[in-house]
Amino acid sequence: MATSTTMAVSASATAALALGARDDAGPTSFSGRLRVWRWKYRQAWTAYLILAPIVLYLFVFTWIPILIMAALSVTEWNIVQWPPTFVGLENYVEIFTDPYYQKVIRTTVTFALVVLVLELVVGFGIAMLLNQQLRGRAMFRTIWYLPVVISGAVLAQTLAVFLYPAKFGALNSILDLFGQPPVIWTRSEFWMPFWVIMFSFWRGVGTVVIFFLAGLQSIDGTLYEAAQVDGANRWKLFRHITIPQLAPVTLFVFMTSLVRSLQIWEAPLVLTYGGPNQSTRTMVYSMYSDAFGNLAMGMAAAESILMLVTLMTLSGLNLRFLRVQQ
Amino acid sequence: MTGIGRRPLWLSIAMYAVLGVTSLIILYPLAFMVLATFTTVDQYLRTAFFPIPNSFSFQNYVTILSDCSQGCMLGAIVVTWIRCLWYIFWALLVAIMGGYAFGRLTFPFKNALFLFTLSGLMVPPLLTALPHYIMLARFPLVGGNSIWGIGGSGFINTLPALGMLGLVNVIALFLVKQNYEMLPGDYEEAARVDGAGTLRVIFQIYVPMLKPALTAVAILEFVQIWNDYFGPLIFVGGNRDITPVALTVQRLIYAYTQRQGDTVGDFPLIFAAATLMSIPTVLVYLALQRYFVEGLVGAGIKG
Repeated sequence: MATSTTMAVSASATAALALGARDDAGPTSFSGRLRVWRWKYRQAWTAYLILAPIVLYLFVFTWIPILIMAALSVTEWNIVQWPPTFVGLENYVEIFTDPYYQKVIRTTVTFALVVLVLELVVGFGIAMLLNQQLRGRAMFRTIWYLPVVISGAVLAQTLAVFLYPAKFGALNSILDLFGQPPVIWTRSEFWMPFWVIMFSFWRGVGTVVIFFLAGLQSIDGTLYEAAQVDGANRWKLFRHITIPQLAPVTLFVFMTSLVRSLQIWEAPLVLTYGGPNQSTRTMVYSMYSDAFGNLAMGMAAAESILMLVTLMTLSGLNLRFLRVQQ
Repeated sequence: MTGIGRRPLWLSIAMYAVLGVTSLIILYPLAFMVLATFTTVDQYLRTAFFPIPNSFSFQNYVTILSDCSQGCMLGAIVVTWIRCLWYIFWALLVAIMGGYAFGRLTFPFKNALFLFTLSGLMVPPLLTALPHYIMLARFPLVGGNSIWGIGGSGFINTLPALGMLGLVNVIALFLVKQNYEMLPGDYEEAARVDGAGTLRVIFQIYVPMLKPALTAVAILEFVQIWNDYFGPLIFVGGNRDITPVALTVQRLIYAYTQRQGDTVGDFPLIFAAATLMSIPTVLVYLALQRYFVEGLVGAGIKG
């Protein structure tokens, strides 16, 4: 039912018709016009009554917080002392000039890009395979989606067991099988970022697979048949039908995956605490530790606002592109 | 699906091989997790790369359920179930009502209101945690606060802090609205002519037709709230009696991995906690994934 897209008939228009309106000229009799007017009036009234609490709720719990944060971001505040000290744009300047925050930004962007590329490439490949006629497709699809429905924080915490430094750790015991000495993962500035990235990829790739798969399955089969009649081969079908037909989905997946991977926080928060040597300190984790660890509310607010502006720009672009595509 | 003639055999084999191997890698940590729960520490340490239990003993589950050192698992499960139902109720209500308004009615400023609602989607809850904390902590006249919101700790570490934020699920609203737009209007007209009110039209005519989408919304909300970690950590992290299950399990795991000194951590116990908390979402997903893929993806992308 959800997938039958063709019947997008506007209910209001048909309802108005049924109640006496003709679509262009409108009813000529006085009573007919009155009925249409009353129906329109009632619709608006109903809609406002329904939407008022929703809009109010979003205003109070989404937009007021953003205003609070914007106000806090130009202050220095330790949450206890009142009032906060006004410092102008100092917090923002610090984010862009201080080596610590520059490293945080670099880490965040690097993680996001690597995870994004991995998710798109692997996700697309797997979706292509799952779109073939293979036995056990449903099972494979389920396997790929499983990590998405399990708590990321809990899984990140169990990663501690896999990375256990002694040879009891699962990964080190695999190395041990091949006669390699154990690696102290948690102290390595190469391996911890690597595992944080792998973990985020593992958690997120299922979503990408599902969306690509849905995109592939919604391509009109007659397109392929027509092209086959014209003698197109497998590669040509892929190049000239699959790729262009998949463009809107790809854009959607690209943007949502980017927005998601810019906010990596699970593994840093419960496993690495941003270490070793701050090599896994992402923006969201830095914000968390500034706010609730260092009680630097102003800095945390400035970081949040910067993230928010970035993410909203990306989502805004996404919506815009999607609309253009349509 | 492109079905040009028949697929050569080597291609079939290659596809199964790639899919099989990659799927095993993806599944490895989860299979590991589940198998390890049936082992004892000794068995586990002998085969740490892939624990194979000698016998299926549920002792670890019993232990973890009765362990209250970091907040009781059973209590946490009850709190989380109540919280899930509470959030599912609101997500469904908002989606059903709001979806009707945006999907079926015409009224002035519809587009502006819709864009305003949609903008909530662009603000991830992670980033508003700080002002939410301040708002909850400074809520007037509760938790020892004066009318100006000073003096006490407001809603922090109390049950209401677990149920006040994020009640409006914009994604759910959007999804259901898309589905409303696909439905025919005849039934509503007929019912209206018979004198049915708006509520009756919504709940007796549309809700039954929206079942796949509403199921998708309920799954989405359940998975999200069941696994919710960041919010509870910040808003009720100090109160062990009401910590939801994700936070409790994470703390248990932390406690058992840190217990070094004379011995290594009790790893099987950790995995029992993680498995126990994963079972409900996995089961719900397995049982309802048809609806999930249909309702969520269908409307989400093509819309």
